[in-house]
Amino acid sequence: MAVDAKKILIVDDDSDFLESLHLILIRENHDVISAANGHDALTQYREFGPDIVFLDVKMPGIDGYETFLRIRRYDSGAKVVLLSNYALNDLKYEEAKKQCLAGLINKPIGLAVLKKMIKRHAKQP
Amino acid sequence: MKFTHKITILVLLQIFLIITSFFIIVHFESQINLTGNIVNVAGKNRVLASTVQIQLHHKIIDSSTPNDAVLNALGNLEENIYFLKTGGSLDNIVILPLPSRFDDDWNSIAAQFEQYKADVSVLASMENITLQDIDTAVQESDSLVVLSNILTEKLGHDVENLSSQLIFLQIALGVINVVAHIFMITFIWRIFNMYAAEQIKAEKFAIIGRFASIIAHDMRNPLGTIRNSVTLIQGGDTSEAVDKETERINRAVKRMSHQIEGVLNYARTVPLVLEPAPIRDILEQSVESIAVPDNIKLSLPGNNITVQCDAEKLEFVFANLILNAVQAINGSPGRIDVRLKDSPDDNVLVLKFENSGPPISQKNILRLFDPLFTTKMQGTGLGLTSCQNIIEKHNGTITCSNHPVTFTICLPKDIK
Repeated sequence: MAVDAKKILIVDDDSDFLESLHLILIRENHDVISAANGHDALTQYREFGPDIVFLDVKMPGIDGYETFLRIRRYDSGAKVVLLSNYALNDLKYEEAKKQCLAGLINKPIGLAVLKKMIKRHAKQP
Repeated sequence: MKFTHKITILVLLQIFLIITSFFIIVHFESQINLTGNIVNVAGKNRVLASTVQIQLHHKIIDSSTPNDAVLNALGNLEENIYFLKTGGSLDNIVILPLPSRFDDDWNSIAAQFEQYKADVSVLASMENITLQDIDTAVQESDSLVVLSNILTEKLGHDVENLSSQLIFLQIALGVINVVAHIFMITFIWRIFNMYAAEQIKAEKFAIIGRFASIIAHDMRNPLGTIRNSVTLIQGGDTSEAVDKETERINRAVKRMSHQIEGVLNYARTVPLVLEPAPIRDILEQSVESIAVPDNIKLSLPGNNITVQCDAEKLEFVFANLILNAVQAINGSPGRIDVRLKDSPDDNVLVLKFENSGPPISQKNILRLFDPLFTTKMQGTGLGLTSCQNIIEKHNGTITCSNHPVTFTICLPKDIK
């Protein structure tokens, strides 16, 4: 793994989006693992211990907010960026911000924004 | 003005009209009563003058009649004549002074009385008087009665005139009240209808907004995938032709994202993501997303200021305003000047977007920020509404003026 490479967990129920984002991040020399829902994300987080998580808000089962809160309960220093493509619930978003949400990106995501988020928020070794 | 304020003002006007009408009528009726009281006092002169004459006749018939009886009757008459002039209180009833326009009549009565008083006083002091002795006094008493009658009749005419005026006033005020109430009820009815229409319109827009935002959200995921795939293609071995096409796809994705942003910002479903950001940098980003044609000279502010804001959403606002200006100038040589006014003492920064495009009609200026209002063939009519929503979410304001066409944004520097 390169010096700037990070361990990244990406979570989205849209398999095409997930796969394309996975490939982009691998090409940027990061160590990437994917999850298709909130439960998978929690399992992967425990096993993989990522430096940063890109987490979709709208997912079946437990949504992005709930997944974020559970990850924070497991690891209070977790760095999570929400990926939004639908109407954000103001109350849940405000609550997430209070729980030290690292950031929010609206889809479609530009590579520059992705890099900026990783540089700014990913855990340092 | 809010519709509740308009209705409150109209109801207050109605109450004012009713109370004013009531007091005008009460005032007139009171004037009639007071003048009627003066008529009674003037009429009393006749009775009192007759009483003096009766006392003089008693004295002729019975010489033992005391002088005081004549003098007391004369005193009562004198008191009544002067009371008529000055007014006062009589048996707890207020009597007004005689109006000055009757001064001549009263002076004649007073002069006649003084003559009568002198003669009667002499007669009262004599021991035996005959009918011939009181001849002059009789004539003077008759004259006094005639003069009092003239004054009483004049005062009576006044009362009649006031009564006629009161009837006219009651009819006029009745008509005014009926007409004013019909007008006001109609006006209130119209205000209610307008309010109801606005409510229905707002509900319709809310439903349109909800549907549009659902569709917009669902489009974002596939757009995200397209964008990711283009990024992957651009990162591989590509030819010039592929680069050209991927750039075209990127532009199309950007345009669709922009439209989606417009719908979502209109539907107010996206919260602000506040971070410190330099305003000039946001302006530069927004210019990069627009193809400003060569015929337009765009100038950005030389100064810069960092404020707490949602840079992505402000970029949407600035891009919209600049794009609208480009479309308004439409091919002819023109200019767009963006100015940033910032005073350290002020808590608000002011951004002005001036352009050399044609002025906007007053009618259109009033509707500019209405949802779905557009003068463009390809406009959704949500752009400026979304801009207003975003600026208002920042606790700021956006306004438009002419000569030159200027959109002014005021933003607080310390939005919480």
